[in-house]
Amino acid sequence: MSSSKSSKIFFYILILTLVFSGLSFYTNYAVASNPKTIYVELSQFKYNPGRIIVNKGDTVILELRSTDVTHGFYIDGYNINVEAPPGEVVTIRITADMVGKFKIRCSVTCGPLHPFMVGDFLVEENNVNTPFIVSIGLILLFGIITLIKVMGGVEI
Amino acid sequence: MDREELILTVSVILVLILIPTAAIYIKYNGKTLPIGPWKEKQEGTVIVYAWTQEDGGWMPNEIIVKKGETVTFVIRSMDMAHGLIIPELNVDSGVVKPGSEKSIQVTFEKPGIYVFYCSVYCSPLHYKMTGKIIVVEG
Amino acid sequence: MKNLNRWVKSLILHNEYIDILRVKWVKRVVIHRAFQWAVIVPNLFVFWFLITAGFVGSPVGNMNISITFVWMLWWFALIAILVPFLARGWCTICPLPIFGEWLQRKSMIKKTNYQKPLGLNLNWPGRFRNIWLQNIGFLSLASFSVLLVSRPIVTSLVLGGLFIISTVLMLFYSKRAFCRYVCPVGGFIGLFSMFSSIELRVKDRQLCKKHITKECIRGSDISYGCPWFEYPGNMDRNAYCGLCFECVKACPFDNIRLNARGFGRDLLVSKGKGLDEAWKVFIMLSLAGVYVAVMQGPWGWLRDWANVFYSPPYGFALTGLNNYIFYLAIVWGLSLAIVPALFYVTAAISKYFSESKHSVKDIFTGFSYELVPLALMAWIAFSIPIIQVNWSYILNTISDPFGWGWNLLGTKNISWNPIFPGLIPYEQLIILLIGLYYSIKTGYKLAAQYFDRNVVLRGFLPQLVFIVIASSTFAWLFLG
Repeated sequence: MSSSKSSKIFFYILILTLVFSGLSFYTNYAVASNPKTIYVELSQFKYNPGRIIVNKGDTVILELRSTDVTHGFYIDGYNINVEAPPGEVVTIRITADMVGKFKIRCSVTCGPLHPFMVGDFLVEENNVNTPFIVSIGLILLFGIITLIKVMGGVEI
Repeated sequence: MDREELILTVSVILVLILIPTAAIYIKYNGKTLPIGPWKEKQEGTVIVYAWTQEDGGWMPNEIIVKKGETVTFVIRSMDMAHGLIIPELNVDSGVVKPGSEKSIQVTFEKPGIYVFYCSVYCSPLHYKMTGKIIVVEG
Repeated sequence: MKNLNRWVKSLILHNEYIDILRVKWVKRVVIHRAFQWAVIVPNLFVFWFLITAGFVGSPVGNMNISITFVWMLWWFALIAILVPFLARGWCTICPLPIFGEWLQRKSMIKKTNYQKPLGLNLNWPGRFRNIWLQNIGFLSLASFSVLLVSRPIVTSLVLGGLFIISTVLMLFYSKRAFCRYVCPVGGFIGLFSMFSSIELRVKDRQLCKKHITKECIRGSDISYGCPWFEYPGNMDRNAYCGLCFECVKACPFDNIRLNARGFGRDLLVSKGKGLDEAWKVFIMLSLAGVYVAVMQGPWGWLRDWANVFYSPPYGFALTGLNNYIFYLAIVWGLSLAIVPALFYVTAAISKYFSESKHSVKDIFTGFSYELVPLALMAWIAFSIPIIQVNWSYILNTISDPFGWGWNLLGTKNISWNPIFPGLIPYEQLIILLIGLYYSIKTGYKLAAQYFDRNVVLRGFLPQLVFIVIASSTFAWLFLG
């Protein structure tokens, strides 16, 4: 019984991974190798590409072009905040030294949906998003510990 | 209904009427109130507030000046980035970032009507964001 | 201070109930006839001001106090503080039903003769005595939530509309039928308040049974009968207790207590469970995911789909209608069909594994409540960045509520400056883990109720997999 249980869990996790990787194809994203320029188009309430994926240690050059109003380009945790007025090309250089997913946010009021104008700046380690993998591991571990604790009959 | 209830009812209703009335009054008569949206006016300058067209566009959108006069326009972007251009006179304020202001000096030598536009795409109705300067004989 | 300490302990250890009404001043406050009026009216003025601001102020969301106060401050306070800690505490101070209740009672504070209320005082129709209307109402609001939370005028129209609907319905139907059966916000507050750490119950049920006059239902000289159609004497769940404290005023035996308790207890109560509430769980769980993807995700095209009135934004010209229909299909399909279907399969596997006598439908309904903590925590995780990133907009609009360039308190020019934004995904993960913990705990205890002693774990395993997959999906949205 226990082997079929664990194989079932394994099966579900496999499906889960497949679904995730399938979904990630639906975002147009740019992957940077060293050193590379990424062209980012800013327009009302979106960044294109919406996900910028780099590896830890990469230095990337981002060329920001706004196609309508003045937008901002702020990256959580990276202390980057520039404005991109329309008709100008703003170039920034980033050395990706922190791993994880950092939201790109618009820092200049650009219209009604301004607070929702976000993108992803994903810094991976050797093409692996370590914090996400760790978080899935944590969820499994934490789930099992909780189950064992509850099965121990804390109180029912 | 006894007296206390009546007083409470009336006072609550009064506040409920007062809130929107005051807001609408300030919106349309702001100049006469100390905290109105379009308050300060210094001598020799014209403050032009820039809002997206959906929220009113240029305020004011009609400015009367005398021939030969040099006017300082202070352009304040109230919501998003805007810019003021008068194509006929080759006047351009450049981009005025949201929440900031820029001044330009313009001398009007010929009488007539000059149309000014917003130079920065600010909303889908951006192209409608215009105003006019009427230059009259001194 | 000692009491607070005990409460915190009881939250974590789930080992005791502390009667808050034994604190004398709390009791004195809530049994005062002016209590509810005194908290609702200031709140009414605030919301009245916010509605006004939405109509006359700037159309840019983060420059108008109606958006920053309602969808940043109020929303965060509601989902992260009021609901988890104070159950339907919001319903105590909610201004929406004040006009209706005022007209029904023909007074604000004083107890009047409730036998002759103003209005028709009809009974709420039996077929709508469930929360399906609230489910549909909430989904309808969610369908244009991107407009709602970004366009001040839409927020004002919806809030104004809710004031009108509540008042009209309360003139037709008795008491707070609007709050209990119609209010789109009330539905999820009720669901999540079952997880909450506070409850209003009676001390001694036998006393209630023997008590013939039952002032808590019928009202007395100093109190109205329960406006929420509840009978405190058999109340086991927070779901439909509006915490108006009329029963505390009414009870001649002082038999009502307001307990501080551990989280999630009502989720184990089998009485009162129904498909309407089960679907509410799926709606809340699915919408948390949809909202994170649309409002905080990198998918600009999804935002465009949801933002149907985009061009021109204020002319209500329907552009992109085709894509918007796709978006509607995602929102409604996911929350009404796909997620429930997946959970139904899970329930079926649970039945197969446990060889339970319960029908799949029973297992489906019963176990859906295990997802309440996870859904609530997903919503809290979604709401955290709203404050952490955009707090400056709230302060800006306090000084310049209409976006007219004022600077009343000198906070207009505080610049946009998120607080430790790099930590947000990890905070979200921790909150998610808390949800996971309570979901597993609730789920396992439910399994112990439903299945035979020796197959509890086997029956629960499919549920565990569902909970873990749901948590992992959120983890992917936050960190992936």
